[in-house]
Amino acid sequence: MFPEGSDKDSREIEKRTLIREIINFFSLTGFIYGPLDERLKIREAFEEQLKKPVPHYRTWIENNLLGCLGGLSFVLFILLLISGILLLMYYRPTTGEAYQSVVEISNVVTLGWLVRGVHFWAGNLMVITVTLHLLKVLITGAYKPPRDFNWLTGVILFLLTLLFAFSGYLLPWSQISYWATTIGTETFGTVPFVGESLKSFIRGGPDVSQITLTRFFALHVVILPLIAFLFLGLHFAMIRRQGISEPL
Amino acid sequence: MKLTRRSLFGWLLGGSLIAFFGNLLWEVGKYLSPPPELIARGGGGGKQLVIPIADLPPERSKVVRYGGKLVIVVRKGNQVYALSAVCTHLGCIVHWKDKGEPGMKMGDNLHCACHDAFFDLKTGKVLGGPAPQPLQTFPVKVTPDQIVIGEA
Repeated sequence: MFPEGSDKDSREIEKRTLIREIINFFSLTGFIYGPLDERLKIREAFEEQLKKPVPHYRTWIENNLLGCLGGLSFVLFILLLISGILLLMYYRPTTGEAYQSVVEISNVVTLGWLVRGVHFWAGNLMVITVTLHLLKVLITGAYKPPRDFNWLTGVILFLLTLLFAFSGYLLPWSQISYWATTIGTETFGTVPFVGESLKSFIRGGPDVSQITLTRFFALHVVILPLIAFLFLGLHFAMIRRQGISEPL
Repeated sequence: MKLTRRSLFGWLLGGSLIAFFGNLLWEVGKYLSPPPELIARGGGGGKQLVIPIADLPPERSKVVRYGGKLVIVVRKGNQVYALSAVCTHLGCIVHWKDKGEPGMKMGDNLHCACHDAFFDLKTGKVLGGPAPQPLQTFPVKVTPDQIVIGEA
């Protein structure tokens, strides 16, 4: 009915939906967004993103419990990112002050107990949700081609999550974190031939010391997040490209 | 502008969102502003600051926090002086010729390394350099085992 390429006409006959109403509300009131949209077509791109196909799960368990584990992990990751940045504003990564600064965050800083609690619990829960996500993909066979490469990035993200948890555990420099890291790094010593040198390479010395704390801190707040961003980007791009695998 | 049902709900939605995120930002701001306990750390809560005499051997100086300010305490012979450690020029920390530190041009006076300002150790008076005002001095009392800065 309308000639091709006439955007204005086709937009007028778009169906009104709740999502579109919300987008319209922001595009009308946003004085920065409004003029930008003509140039960047943000609205179009945003709507495109909202047209994400969702598999037709048949049961409540599939839909509400198993289908959300990946997204839940990502929500926890965002929570960890925000609360982690906030914790960085007070944390001091030295053997002399690390424990004291953590106690200060919990007991002295306004709402510090909340920020640290969110970081602690989101970190613990993320290990659980990522593990369940991995098991669900494994058991339902969703890792099969063409999604085999995405399964690979997922396994890498699982290992990254465990490394996040392991390195973050040392940072309060309490008795339990010190000895847990001593035991955790001690296990590398059992690798044949290279074990001892591998152990001291990870610790940055013969035993868990300031260098270990510095290295684990760098790992936890810089190195691992950068790698995680890379693999999260790949993971999500492939999911959007290939779609979520449909149940049989 | 005419108020319709649509625009009313628009305002309510926008207002709620602004209130929600504004409050969130406010709480984050409260978290980020350093609590008084942390600002006062390192002494300076009371009127007087007590330093054990063993912490300051003869011919040495030490920068401490007293009343929220940085104060340089100098022990020269049997005399102890306490002056503001913040140079009145641009706020660097002044230093004193500790043992083994060479290169003080003007004897035993306080020196600011940033722009070469000199202050008299006893009075805080400017002896040279760009500093516009003298350093504030603080009363010091020395007992056999303690140095007490400030008056009770």
